[in-house]
Amino acid sequence: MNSGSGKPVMVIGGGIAGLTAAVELADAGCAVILVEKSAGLGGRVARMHQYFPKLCPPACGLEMHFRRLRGNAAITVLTLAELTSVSGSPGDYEAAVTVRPRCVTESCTLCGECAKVCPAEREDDYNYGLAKTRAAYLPHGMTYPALYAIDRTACPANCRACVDACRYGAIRLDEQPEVRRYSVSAIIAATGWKPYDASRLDHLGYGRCRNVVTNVMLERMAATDGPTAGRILRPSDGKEPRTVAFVQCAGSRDENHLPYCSAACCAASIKHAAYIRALYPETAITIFYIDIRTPGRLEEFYARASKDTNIRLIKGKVAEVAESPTGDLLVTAEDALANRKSTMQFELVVLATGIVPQTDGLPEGFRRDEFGFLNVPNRNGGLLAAGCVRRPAEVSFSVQDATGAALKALQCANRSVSHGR
Amino acid sequence: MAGKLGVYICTGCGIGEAVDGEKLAKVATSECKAASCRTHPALCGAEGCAQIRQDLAGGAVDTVVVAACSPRFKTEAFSLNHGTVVERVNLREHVAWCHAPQDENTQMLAEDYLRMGVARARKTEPLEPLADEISRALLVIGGGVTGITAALEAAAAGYSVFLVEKEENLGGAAARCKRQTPAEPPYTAVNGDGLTARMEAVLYHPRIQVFCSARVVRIEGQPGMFDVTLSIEAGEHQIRAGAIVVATGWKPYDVSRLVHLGYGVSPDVISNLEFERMAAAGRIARPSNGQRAESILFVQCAGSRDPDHLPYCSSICCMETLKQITYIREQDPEAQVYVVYKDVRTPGQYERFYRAVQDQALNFFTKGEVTAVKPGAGGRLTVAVEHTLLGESIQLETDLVVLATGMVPNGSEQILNLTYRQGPELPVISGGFPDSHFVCFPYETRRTGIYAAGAARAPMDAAQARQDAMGAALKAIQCVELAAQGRAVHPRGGDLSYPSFFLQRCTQCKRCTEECPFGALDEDAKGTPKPNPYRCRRCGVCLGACPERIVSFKNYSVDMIASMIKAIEVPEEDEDKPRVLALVCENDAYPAMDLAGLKRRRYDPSVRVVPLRCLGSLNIVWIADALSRGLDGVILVGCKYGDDYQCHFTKGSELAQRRLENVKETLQRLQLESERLQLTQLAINEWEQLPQVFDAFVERIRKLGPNPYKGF
Amino acid sequence: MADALAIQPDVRFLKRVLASGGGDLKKCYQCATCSVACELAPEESPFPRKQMMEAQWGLKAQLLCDPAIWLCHNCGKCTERCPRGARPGDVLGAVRREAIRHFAFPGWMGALVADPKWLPLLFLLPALIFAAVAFWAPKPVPAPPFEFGSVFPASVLEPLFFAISGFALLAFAVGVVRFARGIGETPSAGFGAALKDIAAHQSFKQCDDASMRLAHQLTMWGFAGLAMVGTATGIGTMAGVLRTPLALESPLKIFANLAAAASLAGVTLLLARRVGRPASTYFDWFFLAALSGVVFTGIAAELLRLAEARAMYGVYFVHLVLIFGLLLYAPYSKFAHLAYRTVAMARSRKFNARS
Repeated sequence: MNSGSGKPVMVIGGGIAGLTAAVELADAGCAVILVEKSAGLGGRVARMHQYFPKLCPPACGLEMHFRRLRGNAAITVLTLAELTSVSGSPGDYEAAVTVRPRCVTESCTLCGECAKVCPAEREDDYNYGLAKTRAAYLPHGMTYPALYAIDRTACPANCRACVDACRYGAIRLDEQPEVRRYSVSAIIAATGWKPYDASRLDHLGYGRCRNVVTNVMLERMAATDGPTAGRILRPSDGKEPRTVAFVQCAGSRDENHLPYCSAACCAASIKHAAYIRALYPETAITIFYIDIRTPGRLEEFYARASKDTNIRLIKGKVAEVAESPTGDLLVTAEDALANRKSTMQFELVVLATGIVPQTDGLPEGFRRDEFGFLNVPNRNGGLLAAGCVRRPAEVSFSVQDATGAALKALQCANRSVSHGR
Repeated sequence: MAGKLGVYICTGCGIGEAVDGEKLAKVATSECKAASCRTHPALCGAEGCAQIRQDLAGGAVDTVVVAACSPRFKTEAFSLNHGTVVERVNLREHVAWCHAPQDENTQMLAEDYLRMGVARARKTEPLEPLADEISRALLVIGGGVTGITAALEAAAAGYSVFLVEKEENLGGAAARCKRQTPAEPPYTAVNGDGLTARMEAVLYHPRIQVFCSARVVRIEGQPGMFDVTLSIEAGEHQIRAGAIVVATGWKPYDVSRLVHLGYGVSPDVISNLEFERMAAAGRIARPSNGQRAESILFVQCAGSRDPDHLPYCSSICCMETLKQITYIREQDPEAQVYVVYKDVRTPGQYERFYRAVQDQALNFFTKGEVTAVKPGAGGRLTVAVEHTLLGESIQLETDLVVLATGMVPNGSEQILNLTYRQGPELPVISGGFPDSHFVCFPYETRRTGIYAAGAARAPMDAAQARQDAMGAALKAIQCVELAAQGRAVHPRGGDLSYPSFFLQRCTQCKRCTEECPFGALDEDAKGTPKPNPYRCRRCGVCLGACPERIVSFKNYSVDMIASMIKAIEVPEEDEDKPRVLALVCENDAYPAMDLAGLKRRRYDPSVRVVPLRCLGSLNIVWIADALSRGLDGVILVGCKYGDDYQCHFTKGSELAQRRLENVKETLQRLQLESERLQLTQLAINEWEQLPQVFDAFVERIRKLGPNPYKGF
Repeated sequence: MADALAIQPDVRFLKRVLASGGGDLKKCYQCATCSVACELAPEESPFPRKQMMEAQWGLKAQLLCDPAIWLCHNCGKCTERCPRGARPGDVLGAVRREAIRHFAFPGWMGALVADPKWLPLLFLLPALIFAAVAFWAPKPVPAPPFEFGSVFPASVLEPLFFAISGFALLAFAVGVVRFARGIGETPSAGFGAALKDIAAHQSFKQCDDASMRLAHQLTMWGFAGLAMVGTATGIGTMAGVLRTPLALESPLKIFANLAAAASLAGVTLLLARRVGRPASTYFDWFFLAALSGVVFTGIAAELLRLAEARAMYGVYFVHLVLIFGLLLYAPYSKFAHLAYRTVAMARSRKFNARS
């Protein structure tokens, strides 16, 4: 049943869902082409400090996946690449992938000399813009493939500093985008999600108040390799916050923003509260919620937090955030169970922004529901979706989803070879 | 083996600047007796690799030691033809990038690593994969939504399936439901989900053999060759399967334990399951008198999210209640429906369904806690609710109370009847769920080749169970495919090595059979281990457990690590050069060390690192070897353990800690300070702490003074 | 269970709220955004979150006696911000309508005014009355000098309007007493503070909507002025001290014209605000149409009189019909908020704390 002679499966997106699908398929004997838009695999989870509810680092699981990728002939990894067109039918698709120049070849040894001499800076998307990297950059320490990349859009004109510094001849500044065509049996879109644009949540202070941050930003601040080296500090003055508020459903479950529930933010905020508890044992935390949604075993994670005397849970959505002259935040909400409205002062406010399906640039054929998720049943089709692009979910669901999608893809791959079992 | 050893030293990436390559080469040739030794300024480049290949092809060399960067990099460049032993010595991340350049201590460290690498290479033998006749058929236990889906989807991928259902008919819990909750756009319509059609399809599928009214009496063997005895109507029936999907579903929480919510007070207090049956059978009415229920009250989280009952959330009850309200609406637009919830949990697109049901005039929702359900006036029921959104405690008169009871996994009792030494069923963690890594690797259980799916694995609805079934089926397929190549499954997926047991020396102490995290080893009557290599995950826990050192892999053995330890040069007592052996987990601690190197963090150069497959493979003889050799201390660095363990083999560092405690007693008898041993739990992202961990330990050792056994 | 509140939804009430502007009510999931969005909602027992809950559950008794429903000045911010599209502002409007109807005296009048199907009847009555007045008037075919009194003699109109006003005042009084009893034992020392707030429209200021405040204030003060002039003139004519029409330069007339101008400006602004707000109900329109109709016809009648156009009589006839409706139906229309809101504010904690 080994489909080694069948057509490969293409997986779009190198986040946890795409990686899982790729590795699981390869282990089942199926060739895979993994297409990632950025310079390295790992997606959103690579930017997280810890997973809930175990409070364990994503790099631990990612490393297991990367280990299977290293030197694995069954998986072709394309980075800085995007699927641009698809045609064909299940078992027999023609997929065109545009690969942007990395300007760094496989000869790169990670020595880092290029970044040392690089005079230009670029916004660090790995850190959600909270930091900058050089134009010659390594996405992050655990990145795969372990190669630097050069962001040509940030390079000064006629600069060849990196080329001169590289002792291994690994830099090719004149690389051009190229389109590669693949014949594949199925395509799994595991393009993931993006955080809801917090600048649209003006009433919650984002962009207006300096110490209002989003949950994904907090994740970077908590991370050892983040912009604050693992310390959660308020942006305005670098102070350790003594009072922190979490605003749940910042954009989610809101007909004016995202009508659906983003599913992961409740447990994420409880996790973030745990980060803060571990860093600053004296800091008081308040979580404002509509409903706490921690299904399954996550309930026990929530139950633990709800017993913590430094964590206060208030049933009532924050509808107004203002800034005091000291940079503190004035948060107004009604405690619905006490029927009392009050304005409370916090040193840091974290908006639990939701999950928006990442379908930018995805070709026609992947069908979207009313919210933009690729959750329209595609019975026996070969254009599949998995993970957060199919529905908002936490990591474990995405992994499960991706493994399931891998089987559907394997069916297409096995159909693409003749078999008589 | 290793007749003709070739040592290749890379001096790129700062290695050449940090250490003296010529001296290293001398160590290789004169001390290590390498047949050849070459240095190259960029070994991983085309030229360097070509040189290695050329030497191999020419026969000058048959075993290769690459002293360059971490084995986690340039894997492809240095993966030579199959069968050639290639050993990597990490001179970059572990030496040049984290220690002072041109320093005597750094040089000594590099030389030790080279000696250790050579020792390892000399003890490594080429692998010969297992090659047995493997069955690719799958056994699916449970014929509900999950089992049916697993069977159909695996069959669609070309695999044969045996489907075993204990009831007379397929369909399980879902088939007893009137309809299914909406999982597809527009997320507001309850409907059937094609279960009947799929039940038919299973029955007539040429690659699926269905056994109804059947049970698994016994499972013997291992992945690729499970011998399964079924009890069917005609008697016992034998089948052979390669992997197993446990899709045994769930049972409702025992509603009779919910007396505090009024169960038993009146026939008009029923469970959601009883309500579902009533709706499916036809008319919704009060069980007490068969009359119309003008008012119906749903109590959410009945038994779930309750430390006295089920600590977890059953995940489906909110959606189920919303669905059941639609049944009421169809029959009786004027009935009043109350829902008392803790939190309404309709994640993702399910929110739409909540809003739609909420929007019906006579559905009344409140957060609150039901504190009493009692018989009221006129044969009705009085329900007391506290902490409501009305700001006060309220009391409602109603005709029918529905307790939204949760799900209890049905996967751990009398399901598999494995003939394993460690017990007949899948080991479970809290809540009775059998998975072992539910964030990253949700399908992993502690029994190789047996994958749980659906509600047996975690609370989930039918839509999710279908997806889950496919995932588990894929894992099962993967297992048989890897077994057919003699390869290991997760977490050492693809590994061709496996342990062998030199049983003549076995003392039947049973430590290996007890400690194997995956129940791979059985025992004969005397207690001699019976290996089942296809069940093995290659972690080496057995190797660590064995006091007689009879367990070894061709590329990982007690002797190999001991030789590496012996290769460490121990300076004289008066040189003030302590030596510390660090045995680190190769999955997490080792990459963390690489990252510390990448970030150029410095730490004490007295530490000699030996990566282990898992800290659980620690054999205490290595500690004895190290200390008797005159090393001054031994530090173990492994994954976090406890309830939220991070070990890929579930309990490696915990086992190591236990073994360490035993050694410490021995040390005290030998008048050696137990402080010379330490186990540190370190997550992969805690690389920043590594220098501090090593420095602090070396500092402690310095304070203790040199090992008195030095020089013996 | 002794002190637990026995809950019994009033389904008819709920359905009326749903049908009359509160149609999205059930979508509310109690996030309490509305209570924060509302600048008028106090810290203790803020609204309208809890009122939404009570409305969803059809808790008529609790809701109708809740001063909070009147404290809302209907700025619409809660509706705009509601994440669920439940339109709390509109729900409160619908609840207020129900309250007016509930406290109406006599009750059937409340039902009559609330239901659009009786609209023709409501205005047929005054039309017939005034037609009769004109029919039996001393000069059936009017000729110069053009005076309204020649067709609609003050001797008939004044007692008629006093009688109507008296009835309306009685109805108001009964309604307000019923409401106040419903509220129960809460202090009402805040009367002065409430009146001060109303006079200056301070609460509207908090509503953060300047146009609303101005419109409402102009309308309120304009009509108050017109009511005063009307009453004074009425008493004056009946006492034989005054004779209509008043001279343009007379202080009373100047005051009257100023009040009319203020009303005109007020209702015009109010109408402009309504345009494009789909949620406006019959109840809203009834009141606003009567109000603006009175103003427009009043001013038109005066201008026509000054222009000595014969059409003045017809317009005046309409004017009279509308005044009749406005006055007589005031306790049952949105007009009643004047009374209920004042009482609610006076009995609310906010104004009691302030006094």
